[in-house]
Amino acid sequence: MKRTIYLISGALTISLALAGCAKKQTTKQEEILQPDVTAVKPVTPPIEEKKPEVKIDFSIVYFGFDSYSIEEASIPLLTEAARLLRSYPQVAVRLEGHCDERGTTEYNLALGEKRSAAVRDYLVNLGVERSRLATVSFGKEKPADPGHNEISWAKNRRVEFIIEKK
Amino acid sequence: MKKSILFILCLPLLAGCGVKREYVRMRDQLDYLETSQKKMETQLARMDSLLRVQTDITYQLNAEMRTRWGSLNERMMSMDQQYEDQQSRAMVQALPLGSSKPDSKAIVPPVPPDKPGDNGSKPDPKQLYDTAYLDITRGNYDLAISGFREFLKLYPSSSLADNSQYWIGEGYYAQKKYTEALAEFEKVISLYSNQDKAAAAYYKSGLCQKELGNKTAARENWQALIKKFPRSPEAKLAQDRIKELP
Amino acid sequence: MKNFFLLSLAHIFLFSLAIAQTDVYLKLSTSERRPIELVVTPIQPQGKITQEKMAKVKDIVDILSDDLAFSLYFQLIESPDSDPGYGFKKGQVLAGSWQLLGAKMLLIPELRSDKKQDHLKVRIYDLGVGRDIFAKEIFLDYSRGQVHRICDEIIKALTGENGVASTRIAFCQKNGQNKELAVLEYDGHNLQKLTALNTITLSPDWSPDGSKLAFISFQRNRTEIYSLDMKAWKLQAVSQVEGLNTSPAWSPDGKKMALTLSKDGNAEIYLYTLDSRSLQRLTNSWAIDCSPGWSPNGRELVFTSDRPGSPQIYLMDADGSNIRRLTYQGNYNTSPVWSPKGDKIAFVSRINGLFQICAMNVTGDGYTQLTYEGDNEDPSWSPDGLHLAFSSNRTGSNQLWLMHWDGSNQKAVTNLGGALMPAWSPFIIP
Repeated sequence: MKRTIYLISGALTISLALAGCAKKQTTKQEEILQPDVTAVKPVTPPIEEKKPEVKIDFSIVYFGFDSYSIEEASIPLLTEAARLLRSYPQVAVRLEGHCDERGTTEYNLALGEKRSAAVRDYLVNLGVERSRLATVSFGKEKPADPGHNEISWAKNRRVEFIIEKK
Repeated sequence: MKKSILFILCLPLLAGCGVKREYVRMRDQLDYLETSQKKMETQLARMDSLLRVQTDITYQLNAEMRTRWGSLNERMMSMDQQYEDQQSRAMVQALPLGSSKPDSKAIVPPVPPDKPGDNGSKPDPKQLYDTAYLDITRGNYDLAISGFREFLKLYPSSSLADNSQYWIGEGYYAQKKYTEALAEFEKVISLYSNQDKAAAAYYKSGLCQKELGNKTAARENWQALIKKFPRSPEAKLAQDRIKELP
Repeated sequence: MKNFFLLSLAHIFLFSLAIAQTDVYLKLSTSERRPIELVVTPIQPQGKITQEKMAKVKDIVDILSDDLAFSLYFQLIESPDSDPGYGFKKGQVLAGSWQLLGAKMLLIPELRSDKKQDHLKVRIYDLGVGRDIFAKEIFLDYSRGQVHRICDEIIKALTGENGVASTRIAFCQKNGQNKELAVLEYDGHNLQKLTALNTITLSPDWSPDGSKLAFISFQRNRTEIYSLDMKAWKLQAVSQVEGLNTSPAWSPDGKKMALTLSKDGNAEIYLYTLDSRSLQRLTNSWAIDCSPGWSPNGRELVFTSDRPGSPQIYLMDADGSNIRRLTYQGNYNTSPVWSPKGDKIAFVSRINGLFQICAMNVTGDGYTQLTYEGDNEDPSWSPDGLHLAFSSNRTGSNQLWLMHWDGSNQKAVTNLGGALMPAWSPFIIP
């Protein structure tokens, strides 16, 4: 599994991982760019203060039935994700596309790929390098919720973000 | 002596007064510099975050525009596709003796006059066409070719005439009879140049030419196809084939 | 496996009777085939038979009867009397009493005990001409596979067609989070596990000679296509390019494979030539194109595309040209498979929120819904084009089901649950 970190619920892990990155980055900056630590401090908060907000399901983008278009509701989340990815260029992400159980296996594999590609393209348009975004599809093979009703299905039509490397 | 000693002792003090004044002045200046630097830094930081916000907005606008444009484009293309599908379906369903006319400029094959009383014995066009096509799928190519030839003889102005002509070519092509196939595909191009099998016929003509070793002719066929039907799936295939030509 | 074949061949050789089997008794054309009315008579014992032996014989006769009935070449009529003497007089067939039932032929199982070994003689008796037209002696310890083979011999001798009784079905068996490949006899017996890769395995597809299975594996946490050589027990990677590597479909000549890859942006269909390892792109669309299936002549492909805004079935020439749409019913049609007889395409359609197997003529008409209960997926034609295997959850768990081409006679052939994606093998010709 290399160093992949799963961020399935609430994305607690992602904020931790990124916090780790943040520290590393600031220490580097201290050495090279900024001699006066106290003076610079107020500059960083715009990102750090917003971090708790990022926790809002950063990890999962949801889709409609048989659809691979990015929904209006996912835009703030993707914008925030892109901002984080732009700030931490050492982070690469694997986008895992999934479908609900309705629909046929092979078509769902293609649909999952389309979904992860839609998220990738959106992030690329938001200024994230394409090379940092890998796509993979699991079709209907790995449901997040094993139920057989509309609520479960809605949870299963998704793209998950998985941090691949630092 | 005592006075002189006192003076000497006071000297550093006096000098100290001057130095201190200088020192205070310098410190004031430094303080000023420091505050103005801090001010500048705060301003810079503000500008920096403003810039970030602006960048974010630009990115977001870019992404939203592209995504919206993309989905609009996809919707348009799928509507195009639906229209095309319906068009070709309508043609298939317009049997018997559909109303689609061969191109006015193209040469219409001579229609044999119906013999009186012959109408009743004509096989059902849909059945005749379908049987011939099934023979293609089953690999009975000679049967298929004669079936389509009969269809063309009986129903030359049918909306499926171009399809029949195409499948005759395909029947020969499948048997690797490339000269015969080429002649039949060229008939599709000359007789039904604006109908839905024309692009495929151009593409197949090119393949026949390539098989026959006529690379230049193959290229010309594919180039003509790209020029005439630039949006057809065959045009994209033709581009690939041209690239492969040595 | 090899030993098994050799053994069965030896048996057949030893006991084949002098009746000429090279001639086809009834040349039945597949298009105007009428089933032969056949009665399986009660078992004719000779000498004293133990109950145990009788039970064994009954098993064999039941397998034969089921195979013959399922084949669609025969219509089985039940014998009105379980007394072995009914319809016989001193060992001779009383044709009239059988013909009254509408029978044209009899299958007469005769149990013979000699000093060495007991065996069963299977006779097919033509009531019209009054003589045997097929006969074969078999041991009582025959495996189910060997009995299936006898059925296919009967079908071959009487109709000239290859039977499917000795074919097998590969499928994916769910095991916790994973799915592994397994294979069973066409009637659901003798399950054999093929893989233990501890991952998700999907979309098995037989090579036309039946020696290999291509499939999708998630061994490296993404879709990749592998091929399993079932003689050499060797696993070989076929396609591992970036993005999707799905829906392998062997061409009828076995030289090429149609695949779905997304390496150029989104799911497109490619043609992979196995020898030269060359790849040719067939589709060019912004939409999903997947699940290619070959026409029996290898000149055309059927596939799924959502280019009109919803997944529909399309046809194209096997070089990517001449694309045309086949389905217009509903807004979800996927998983097309072309009948080996060339005339029909079966697929999955979403009807009233459930997934059903449907079929239509390749000529664009004759749309027929074949299943009605639960969700049904993954249709796969028998090599004679007369039957379909599919998976269904209608009983609450996913099982493999079989039916005739017109949707009749639907029956489950597994009972474990979690059985998916059946792939019916080609004919197994000894």
